[in-house]
Amino acid sequence: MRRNTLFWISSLLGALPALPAPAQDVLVLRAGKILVAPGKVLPRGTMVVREGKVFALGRDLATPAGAKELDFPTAVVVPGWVDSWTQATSAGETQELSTAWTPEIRAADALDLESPLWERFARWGVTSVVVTPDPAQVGGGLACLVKTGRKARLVEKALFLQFSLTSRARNRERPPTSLAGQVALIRRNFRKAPKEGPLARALSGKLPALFACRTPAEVQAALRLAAEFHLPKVLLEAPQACRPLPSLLEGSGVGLILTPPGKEAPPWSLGIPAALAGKGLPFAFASACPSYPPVELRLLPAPARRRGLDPVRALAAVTVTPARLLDLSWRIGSLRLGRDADFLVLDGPPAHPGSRILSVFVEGRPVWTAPAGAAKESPK
Amino acid sequence: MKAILLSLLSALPAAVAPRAQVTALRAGHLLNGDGKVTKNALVLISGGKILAVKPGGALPAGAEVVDARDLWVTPALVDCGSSMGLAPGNATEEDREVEPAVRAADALDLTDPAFKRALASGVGTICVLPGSKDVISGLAAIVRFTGKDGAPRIVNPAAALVAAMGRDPVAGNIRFPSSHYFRRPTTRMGTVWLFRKAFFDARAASPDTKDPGIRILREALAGRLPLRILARPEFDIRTALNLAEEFNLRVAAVDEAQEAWRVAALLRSARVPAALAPSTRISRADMVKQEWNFAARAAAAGIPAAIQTGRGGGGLSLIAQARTAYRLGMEKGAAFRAVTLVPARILGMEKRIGSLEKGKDADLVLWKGDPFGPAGKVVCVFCGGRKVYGRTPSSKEGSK
Amino acid sequence: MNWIAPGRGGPPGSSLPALLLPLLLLSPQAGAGRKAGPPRPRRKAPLLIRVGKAYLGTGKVLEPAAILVARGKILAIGKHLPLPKGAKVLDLSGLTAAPGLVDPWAATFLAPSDRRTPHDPAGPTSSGLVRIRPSQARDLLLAGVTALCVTPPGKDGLGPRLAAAALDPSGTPRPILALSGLSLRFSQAGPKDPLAPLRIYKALKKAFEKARDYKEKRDKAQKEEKEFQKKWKEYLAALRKLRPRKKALGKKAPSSRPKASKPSGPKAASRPASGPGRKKTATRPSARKGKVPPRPKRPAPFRIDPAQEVLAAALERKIPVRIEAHTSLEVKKALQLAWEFELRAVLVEPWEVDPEDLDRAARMGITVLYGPLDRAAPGYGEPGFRQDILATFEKAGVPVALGTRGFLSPRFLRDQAALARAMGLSPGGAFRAVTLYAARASGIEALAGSLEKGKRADILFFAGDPADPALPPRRVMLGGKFLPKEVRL
Repeated sequence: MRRNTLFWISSLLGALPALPAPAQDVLVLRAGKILVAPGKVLPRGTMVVREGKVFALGRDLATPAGAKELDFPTAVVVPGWVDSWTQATSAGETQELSTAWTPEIRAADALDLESPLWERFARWGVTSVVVTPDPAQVGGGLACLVKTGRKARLVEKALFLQFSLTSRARNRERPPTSLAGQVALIRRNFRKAPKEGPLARALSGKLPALFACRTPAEVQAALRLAAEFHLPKVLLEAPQACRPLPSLLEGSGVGLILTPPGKEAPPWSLGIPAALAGKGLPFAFASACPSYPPVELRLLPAPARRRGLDPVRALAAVTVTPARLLDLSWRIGSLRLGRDADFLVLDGPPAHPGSRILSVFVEGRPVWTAPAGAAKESPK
Repeated sequence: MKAILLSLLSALPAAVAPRAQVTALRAGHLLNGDGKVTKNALVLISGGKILAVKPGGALPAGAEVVDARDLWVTPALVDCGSSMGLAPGNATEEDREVEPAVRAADALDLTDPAFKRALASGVGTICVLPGSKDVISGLAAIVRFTGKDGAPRIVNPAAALVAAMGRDPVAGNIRFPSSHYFRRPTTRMGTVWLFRKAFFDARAASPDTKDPGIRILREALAGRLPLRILARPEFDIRTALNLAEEFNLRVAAVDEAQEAWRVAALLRSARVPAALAPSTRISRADMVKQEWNFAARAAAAGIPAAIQTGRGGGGLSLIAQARTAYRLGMEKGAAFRAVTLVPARILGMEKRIGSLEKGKDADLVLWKGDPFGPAGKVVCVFCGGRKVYGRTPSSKEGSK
Repeated sequence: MNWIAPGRGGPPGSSLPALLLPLLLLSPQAGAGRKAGPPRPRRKAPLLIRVGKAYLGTGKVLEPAAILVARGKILAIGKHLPLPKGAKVLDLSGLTAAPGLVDPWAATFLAPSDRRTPHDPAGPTSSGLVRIRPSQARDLLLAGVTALCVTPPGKDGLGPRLAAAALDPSGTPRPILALSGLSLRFSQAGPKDPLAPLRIYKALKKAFEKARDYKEKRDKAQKEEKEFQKKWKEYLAALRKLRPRKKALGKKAPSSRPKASKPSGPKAASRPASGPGRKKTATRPSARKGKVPPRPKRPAPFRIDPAQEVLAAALERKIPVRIEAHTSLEVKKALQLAWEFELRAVLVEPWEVDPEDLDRAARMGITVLYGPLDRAAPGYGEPGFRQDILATFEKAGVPVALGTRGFLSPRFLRDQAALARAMGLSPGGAFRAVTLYAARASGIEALAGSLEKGKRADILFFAGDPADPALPPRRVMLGGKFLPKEVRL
């Protein structure tokens, strides 16, 4: 049904006369397979990109005049990966040590868009990065969205408001010193929240609220706060190594962002994503850079897949699901019509780690291309 | 006319409502109330509450029978002071020494296996206390096993206001001047000073203040929120009672109170129970002289004494602590009351738990062997009439 | 000096003919050799496994393939094998076989305190191995790791010795080689101390020269000892020839003395005849003249120094030497050291290398070992880090091995291989990095790491591509025995 709609739309658009547009704004891409979203594949498809957005998808589309053409007959085109929780600024720049309550802080104000880090993100296929303030403040601040590449771009300044219940926000030398104190601080400030500002927007649901947690006690405290203040849109950031996570989140309607397990991941931690999937709870994988350097996000779910996570959900956890949890699915996470044209060209199926990235496009512009002469698939 | 109508209307629900299922429990030995043992007793449970407790008798028709004729039955134990579910760093908020608005319930991890262990040892209600590093450390929480499959649930997140006398709040305050902890109190006098100042300020603050801490202290001043004060040696207990009298506070219990037997007359006249520390732990803090049989002495002196598992996790289960106190000289009835009736009264829930009487919640435990004997073991635990742990003994006789 | 711990192979004497069996049973050494070590597999009959595809780990792929396994070793592997008499057949035609993974840089089996204290060559590593929990061992086996090289931490300069051990479902370490390598380290001071590599090179050179002297002395002492043994045997034989036997004393002594004429007359009767009563005055060697070889002098006893033994083994190329060298200067010095002393060198985590050193390394047959690429690599996220360093080495012909360094559980070895592949290593190279080349870096290349004749039968069976880390192995064979199916999660 979906494909039919696409087909009709695309053929209709193909039948239209070529609209006058500057040549460099239109890109026509032909690929062996286009993965519009995990589970939806368009074999031998064509994608037309105009002004950085996906304009048309289909088979045998007419090429507008003056458009750049790219042909990858054997490659697979996938949406760029979305890294949904990082502190990808230099260390300490959003860590406001003097006070614990800083909801006005914006991670966007501390970004270094010239940093070579963004190019490294692009090289690993991550096209959208969510930068959050340091979880060293209880009332953390606003997160932002950055598009990667040599010329990184800040596209969203206020994505969600972050609150930290982790031990990083507890300090022996300044309040609060305990988890109960963190919760009391949050509660006190929620009750006397000003009528305008990010806090008011978070309390009324216009802005999602994200709670950063590490242990089961912190997860329960976050859920209790969400229930007490009837927060409409709540996200949770937790590590995989939190054992009761599936049972705690059941029926709570809370979105989850999973960060990699720590150094010595206990064996059961690899089975948590599969358990969450079994209960129908949505979750996204994030890299928590810089504690875990930028690396192929696609490889993060591989250990979880060994323990039963299905490949479609594993791929969705780095594309569609984070976009949905952050209310950004109108923009990133998939290659549906009207979304940003952030995609990767792989030389093999995305589920297989051996497939390499040949090039990375952000909003229709190539930001990274694999050096020519990269080792081909040689027999073992 | 109105009266007739009202009486009819009130009678309707009873007439229309379907009769709730009655469960009849035949107990081989029933250890209840003051510590009396009744042989071959019959306990009738309906709708999660106890209908009747009879020393034997016929089974009502249509009742579901639980045959515990070779088992002992007691009410579920009540632990009036513990730190289960609180990670060591999360127990006290040390920003200031007076933190009435901090709740232990906010830092509770209900998935902590300590709760399961407590349930498996026969405890039905637990009061979790915040730490003792502050003069006023916050609000205690009451946890009962009313969730799905006996999962623990917080039933009262603000059960009592917890304070500490003695040197516990002082610990860590003597440091180099630039530290955040270089502050009052550094002596017992400082502790009392902060306590009194907090209540003075609460009285003196404006009536429509938004400060949650002051509001909580006001509740305590009005007597609506009871206090739990930690005091080990007898001079600290005396101080605590003096302060309570000064501010007209309702003290639910004095915690640990290893020297309570020395001020027995004072505690009796103030009608303040003592929530005794476990006898297996020898405390040398606060210059207390802990006698080996302090629990027995307190009971013999007529103080209503409860036994708690105390702050600082690990250690024996509550019934093991009661057994130890009994073996160290506490009278058996008093030891039994110390884990059932007295803590229920301390928590203010004596109308619902603490003993098996008509109208109270059906929280009971089936034991194999005398719970105070060396081989007493929990077989099954009921909470609100529902089995939450263990296996019910199969019923041999059907309803007649 | 038996480098191979008593194992399934057993000491060489166990297969002597039955004539010498009683001698063997009496000799304590053989008894000890037979009692110690893991229990032998009960299976006497060989097992022939037929699979759909087999990645040998050497670069060859067989499709279909047959593997013959007996007594914990691979007897033969090929496309089609004849069925030997008495062999059982197992048909796994839907599965792909691959060699068991080897983690060349692991901290498993080390006690927590041993993971922190630096070791040196004198400290025995294999006797300090502790058990892990059976659940942990099963978890590692189900992730495909069958053998590991236990690497304790070390100081700058001479470091600890390595021990290779196989995993066992019970959690006990099964040593494959008690001494499987030596670790050296150039300084980690970095830019703070730029001359440190030169100092350490000098110190190491001195150490190896000392070890060389020790080796010469030891070899000389061994030769002298052998000579002495020979001479002593000859001496004893000569003595036996000269000394009349006790039995023969009653008869005429076959002495080489000129026969004394029997005295006649009355004095002769009083003299006792030659017999037991006669004093053996003439049998003392000092009394004889010139027929006896001189008593050989026992050479001075030579004290074996365990630390020097390790270095001597390295010089004899019996064990590989791992040299941790990060900067190009350190790499240069490491290669120089390896060249001078003809060591079987393994470079550990070289993050920068000059092109001529690259060629030298390729010519010298050096292997390169890296720890976890995403966690421990210094400056991984920083601009100076060369992400193509692995591919550079591979292109130059230097094999690359990957380990987990104890920073990660060995369970994630295949994920590291996938990451290496994403960083530019060829698929075959990434696969061999955790099998064959890892075994080479651990010194057990002759015993594990690929599916070849004579190696341990540690085989993984996959229902798909072995290199896909999302795919767990379907069956795991360890030392010729399958892990029970119920163990699977």
